[in-house]
Amino acid sequence: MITGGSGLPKDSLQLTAMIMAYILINGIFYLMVLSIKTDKYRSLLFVIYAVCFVITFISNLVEVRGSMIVTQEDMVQGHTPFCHMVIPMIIVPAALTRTIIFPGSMLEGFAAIGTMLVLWLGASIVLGRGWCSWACFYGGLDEGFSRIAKKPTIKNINKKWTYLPFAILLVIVLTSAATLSPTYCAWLCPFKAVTEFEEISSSTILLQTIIFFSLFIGLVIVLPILTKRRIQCGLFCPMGAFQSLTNKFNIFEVRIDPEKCAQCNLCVKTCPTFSLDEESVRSGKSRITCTKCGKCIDSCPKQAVSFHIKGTPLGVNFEAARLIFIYPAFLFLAVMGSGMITGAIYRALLLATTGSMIK
Amino acid sequence: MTRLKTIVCYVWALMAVPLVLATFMGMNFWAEKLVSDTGLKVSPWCTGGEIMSTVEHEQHKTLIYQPVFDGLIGQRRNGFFQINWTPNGNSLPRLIDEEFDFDSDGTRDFRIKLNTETNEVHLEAFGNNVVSLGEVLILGSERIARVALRKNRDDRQS
Repeated sequence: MITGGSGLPKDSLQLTAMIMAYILINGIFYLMVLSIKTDKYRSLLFVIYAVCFVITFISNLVEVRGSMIVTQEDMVQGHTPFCHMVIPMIIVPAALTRTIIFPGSMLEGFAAIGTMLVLWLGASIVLGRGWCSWACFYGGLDEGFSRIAKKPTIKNINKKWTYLPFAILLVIVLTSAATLSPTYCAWLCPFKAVTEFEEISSSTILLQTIIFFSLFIGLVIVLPILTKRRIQCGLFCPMGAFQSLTNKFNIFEVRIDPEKCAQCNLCVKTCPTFSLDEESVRSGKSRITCTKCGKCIDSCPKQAVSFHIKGTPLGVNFEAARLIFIYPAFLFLAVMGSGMITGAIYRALLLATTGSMIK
Repeated sequence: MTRLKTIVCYVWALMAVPLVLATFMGMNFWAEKLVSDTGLKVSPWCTGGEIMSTVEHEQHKTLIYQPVFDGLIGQRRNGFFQINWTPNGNSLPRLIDEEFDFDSDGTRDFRIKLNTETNEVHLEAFGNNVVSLGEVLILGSERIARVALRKNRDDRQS
């Protein structure tokens, strides 16, 4: 799975990087299974995955294109890698015109539209919004920053903000359908700052670039540090809001056993995506936005919070439900992350041996 | 009944691992199936659309695309027309001067003069449907130009 079915690499540096990634990923999984701590080890690998994604992605871009800049030529040729953030915006135009409003390739090259759609469909069936904590290659960035401070500086965040991603989702779906272009990518995506962006050739592109960097600094770095929450994922990301809808049919969920719950609300305070509130504690169910990260489960002193398989009795087979969930979830994270982690270790080894991360 | 429901739910949950394996191992197969079964294509606003005709010249060929006016429902008033010049050998001739009839009505709509050394492009419009010269792109030895078009209200209704 880690080699993508292509066999072991012949380059010794690449082989070393792959072995190191293999040991790291398997070590983290054994610790997750043995320690009964899901989020502690998931978070570690998730953050490593996101950082390695940025390193690998930028290095590959610089190697192939010479910079992080995506040109009109790249777009016309369909050389833009497809990103899952586009998915909510392509659905209406795809349904009505049978076309994908993204300058990528349907089947050819890196991150082709078809393969990314298959990955997303598979993840949505298996994980629901668990995608956001087990598969998304951006989520680990604000998760990493949200874990830097020991205590939050900003504690009280109005619950109304949790509806903002749904409002942004509605706006971008409508504007993308009207303009036949992915408006979130053009104007609001903070992760353009660490992936690729257009060459500044007009005042409009300059404004867009300023917005990307400002949102990245604000939503992915500063606010997560100040609040200890995943602000971009919980209060802004329209893909997360869209993915929440898949939680409706997903078999896995997070439940609170009212008989064990001591009403301490520690789970509410620690939930990184604002998916638990007092009402959730009373009803025993997480909100639709739950990303199944497991932080509330790890933090509950009474073990009242647990992964649960819908349709099965609550409070029975606590560990079995956790294992049945973490095997496919971790497998997704491991396979998605292994290429990025191997790539980043390889770049680091290349830097150490040749003085450059670029071949 | 409750017991049966529990068993079914556990079985469905246990199917998650084979589903993940099927997703990754069969990714290319599923992707090809998805694309062929749905007939999805990249939007002509990104690709330039379908090639309408090819004109062979001594040193190069001109690929003429269908004008793109595609809207979400029906057609838009504003669109564009893409032309691609590809060399037969290593390079394009120094000067290219061609006239185009984008709506195939038998009358020339605009003329393009392209200097492939300086990459200067000049557009001469013969009608009010032709708005301006859009992007001019250099792809190795090829050149691509997009010409912004606007349909008349009568054309749009038809």
